[in-house]
Amino acid sequence: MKSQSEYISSFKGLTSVDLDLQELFKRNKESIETAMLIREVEEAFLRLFAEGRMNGTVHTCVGQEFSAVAVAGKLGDGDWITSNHRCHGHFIAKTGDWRGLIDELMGLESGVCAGVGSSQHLFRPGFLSNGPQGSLVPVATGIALHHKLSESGNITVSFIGEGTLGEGNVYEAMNLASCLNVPQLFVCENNLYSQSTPQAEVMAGNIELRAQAFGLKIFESDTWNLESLYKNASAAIDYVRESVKPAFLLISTYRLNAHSKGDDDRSDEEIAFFRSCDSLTRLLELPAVQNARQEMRKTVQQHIDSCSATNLSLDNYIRDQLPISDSNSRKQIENDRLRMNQALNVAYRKQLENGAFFIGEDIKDPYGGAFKVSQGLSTDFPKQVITTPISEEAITGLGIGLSMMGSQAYVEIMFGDFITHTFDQIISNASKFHHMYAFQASAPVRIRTPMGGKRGYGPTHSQSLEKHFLGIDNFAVVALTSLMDPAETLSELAKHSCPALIVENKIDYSKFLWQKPNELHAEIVEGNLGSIVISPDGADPTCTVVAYGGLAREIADDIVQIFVETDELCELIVPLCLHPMNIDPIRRSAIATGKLLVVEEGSTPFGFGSELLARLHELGGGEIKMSRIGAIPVPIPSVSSLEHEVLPSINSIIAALAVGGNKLQ
Amino acid sequence: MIEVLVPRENVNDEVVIILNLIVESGSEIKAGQAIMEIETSKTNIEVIAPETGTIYFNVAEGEEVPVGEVLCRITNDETDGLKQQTDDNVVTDDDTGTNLVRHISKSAADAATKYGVDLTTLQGQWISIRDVMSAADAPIPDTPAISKRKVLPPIDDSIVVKPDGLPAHVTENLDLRKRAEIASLSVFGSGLRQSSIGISSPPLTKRLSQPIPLFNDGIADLVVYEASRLLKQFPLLNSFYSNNNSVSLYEEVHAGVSFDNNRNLKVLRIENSDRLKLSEIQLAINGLLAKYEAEENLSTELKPATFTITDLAHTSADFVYPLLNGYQSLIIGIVRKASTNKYQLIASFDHRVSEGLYVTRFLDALIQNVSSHFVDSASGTEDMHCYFCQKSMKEERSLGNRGFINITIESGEQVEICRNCFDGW
Repeated sequence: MKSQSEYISSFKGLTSVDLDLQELFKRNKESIETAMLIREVEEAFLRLFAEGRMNGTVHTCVGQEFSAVAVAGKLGDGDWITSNHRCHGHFIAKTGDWRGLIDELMGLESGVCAGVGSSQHLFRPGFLSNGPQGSLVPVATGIALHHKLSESGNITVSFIGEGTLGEGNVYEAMNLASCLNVPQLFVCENNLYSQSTPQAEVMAGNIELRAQAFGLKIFESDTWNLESLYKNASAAIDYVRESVKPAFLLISTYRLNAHSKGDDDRSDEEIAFFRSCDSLTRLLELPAVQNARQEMRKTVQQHIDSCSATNLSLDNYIRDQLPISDSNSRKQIENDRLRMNQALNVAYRKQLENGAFFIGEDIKDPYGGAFKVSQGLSTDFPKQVITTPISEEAITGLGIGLSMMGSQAYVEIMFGDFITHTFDQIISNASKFHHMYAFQASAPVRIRTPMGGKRGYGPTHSQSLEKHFLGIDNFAVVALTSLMDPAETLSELAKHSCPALIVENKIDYSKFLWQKPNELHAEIVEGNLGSIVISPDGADPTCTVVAYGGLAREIADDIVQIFVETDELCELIVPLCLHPMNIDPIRRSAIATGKLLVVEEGSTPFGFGSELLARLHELGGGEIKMSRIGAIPVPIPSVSSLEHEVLPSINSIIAALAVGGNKLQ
Repeated sequence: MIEVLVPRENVNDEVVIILNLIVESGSEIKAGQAIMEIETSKTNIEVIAPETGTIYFNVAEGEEVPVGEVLCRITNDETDGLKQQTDDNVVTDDDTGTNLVRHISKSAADAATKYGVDLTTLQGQWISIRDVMSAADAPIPDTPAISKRKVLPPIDDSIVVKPDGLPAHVTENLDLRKRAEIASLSVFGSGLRQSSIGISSPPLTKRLSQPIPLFNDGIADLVVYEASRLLKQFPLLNSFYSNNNSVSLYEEVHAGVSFDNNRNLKVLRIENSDRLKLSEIQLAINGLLAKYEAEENLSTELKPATFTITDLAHTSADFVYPLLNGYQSLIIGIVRKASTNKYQLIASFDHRVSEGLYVTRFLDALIQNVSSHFVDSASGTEDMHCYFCQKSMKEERSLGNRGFINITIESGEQVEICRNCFDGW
């Protein structure tokens, strides 16, 4: 492993002092002026920050401006950039909208993201940045795939710092981009430090070889040799655009300011050396440039002075994209005789006919997915069904990118247990885009996965983890069940722009869609994302049971048995949408019966039932005896007898309702 | 009012299947008119109305109904008819006129007995304890007086202990018809209460998964394994006849395997054989055989089993009439058709406990389950799909010589699943 001083020496070797700055300025006036503007704006930010007029923090790119100019400045309108916390330079070079940027950092409604995003979270068509380091890189792969499939000739550039190479999502994205041959240029700005940590302490091996391992074509340059940087950056852009393949551009550079502010332990001598080599610093000393710089500073200051302090109001900010239930709708449930996985196949096929993408591991024919939901789809929709490496995070990002560009994207996570890998993409990207980018972007990605146990798959293939995904802002959670053909629910969901988790159930897959027996009445209320209400025919229910997904089917099949054993005649309410919660049908029924039992296959603490009972309590309006049952909070054991004891079942419902043991009496 | 009963069309049939209700419940019919079609094991027959009047069906299409049950009632008195609507466990839906099965909770049934309420007088499809109590004018439930009562039948009370210590439940007493049959067996059958039924297997050539060498050329392990599991569905074959006209069902399944080296016939027990995996059964038989041959002390293994299997497939026998062991109601003999791969399973059973059709169904299921362990070239197992993941047998085979496993799921259905779904992912 190289020492930090060896790294610094190698960078010093790259610096060369261009003697004829006048000529350099003449030849590249326009791009140098962009770099000047970037520095001017960032210096204004530091002044504003010192004056307490700015929100949050800033990460300036002083010393690195030419990287932004050489790459972002050379892109077309249809090209896209994903950037990171150090994004001002990339933004100005790509969009030219420095006024909107200043307003944004001052928290004004006139800012590019209405003041919501501030320094790190910017959006303009063709540009987005986000705070978490590598999270947008797989999203960029999705945007690049959109470019490729639409044959637009556009490309996507992902800016990362070399510190981000510590995150796995970058490698997932590189692999994916290479496998899918998408026009994505990974630009790594190597400035030798991850915030305060020297590269020598956290970078093993070699940066180029990492990219090379994924088959990316490597381009290298630095910010001290301007014209060579321009040439190499353009070559990389042209290569990606013309060959429609990903490439990796490594730009050696040096940040002259602190990472953010006040977090700088580098030696003064080292900084002074790189400052003396910085082309922009030297150019700014030229008399001809000086004048232009004064003008620019005046213009920037005038803009700052003219800003009117209008902030976004809360009312205008909170509106989300979550579905709202249609309280007037109710219809009877009638199902064809199909197995659930066949019904899902038909339903997703319909979405594919509408142009949706279907993304996941092992979903292609002849295998057709671990549970055969995607059987035949890749044969009929070869361009839209994308089989991927085992990269749950990157494929979620891929779906986010595709959906942001206007396509429906269904991402399959083979087992619900692996959905933990998608959490960052959901939290940092999908759920936030709509608000964070001030309603200019949506990410209607649908992550679909089978949850549930009772197949002996053990601790990591049997869980019901949906409770961890409930209550994320602007992120819907839908639980399908074989009680109702999923086609209409999915079509309804497709009309909404929020991202969503679609929970399917392993046991439910092989069941035939429910056929309503004579003694029960069943209807779907409040729309196709509403709730299924199953009531006994010819008698008033004495107890309300709420359950969803595969477990709801088990209960529906055993309503008679529960009655015979416990004397409780259940009205079963099955919400299809867990978040936002469709509370009205549950509340109506529970007030009528006076008893409510919530059953969930996941563990109960801090779960769906907890929220439901809290909401009912807040709403009030009737004395309701309430209880919850769910899995015992332990890892799910493989051994069948123990697994059945750990997970809730008909027997545990009967035990909960049985006279004597009745939790609701 | 007259009742039309399920006719006994031939001596073998214990049940008939309702194929088709020709007229609607509640409609007027004339004597001589065909009212329904039923299927017996031999033929389909039309049931003819013996009288003119209003008909009320007691059964639904597709239902299996025991011989002697009420098929329908014909009345020419309006009030009489209305009363009958609420009789038994079938009520007629006022709107559609169709028959609906009535559900009576266990606590309602208990309370009806206790308070002497005639359940047939209660209206509605769902009869709860509340209905019974209000009819009896007793305090309605949810009061302490009632909640102290156990709703679930006190199972422990009905446990009888067989002389050798195996726990069993007493079932309901045998019905009058069965008692009459037992009596007639004693008179005409010179006291013989045992009967035997044999069924042949298709050729069973190549196993889907290779067993340990002892079972390379036989099916005893499979018969023990599958029969033990099936007995959960056929409890009457895992039982014994109690001398007070009732049957006791064993709570556990212990297979007895008979060994005979021409010196000393012994039936050795495989404990809880319904809970063992096939490989465990194979090892157990192997172990018993070794002990038996070594003439070790077999006191543990000699404990009584709940049913018995005797394997004569390695002998030249092509028929066996197995004799029931004491306190059992099933013994299965295995023989092999001379120099073929076809086996015959012969079950002897206690006719006081179960009946031929019941045993035949058991044997059919057993043969089918045993066959599922073999490559079935004739019917094309290649097209078989895993019940859980829908994977085809072809695909499974392409993953190595593994094959599917036939299992019984909770609903009682027999399904095939692939090794992935069986072993876990």
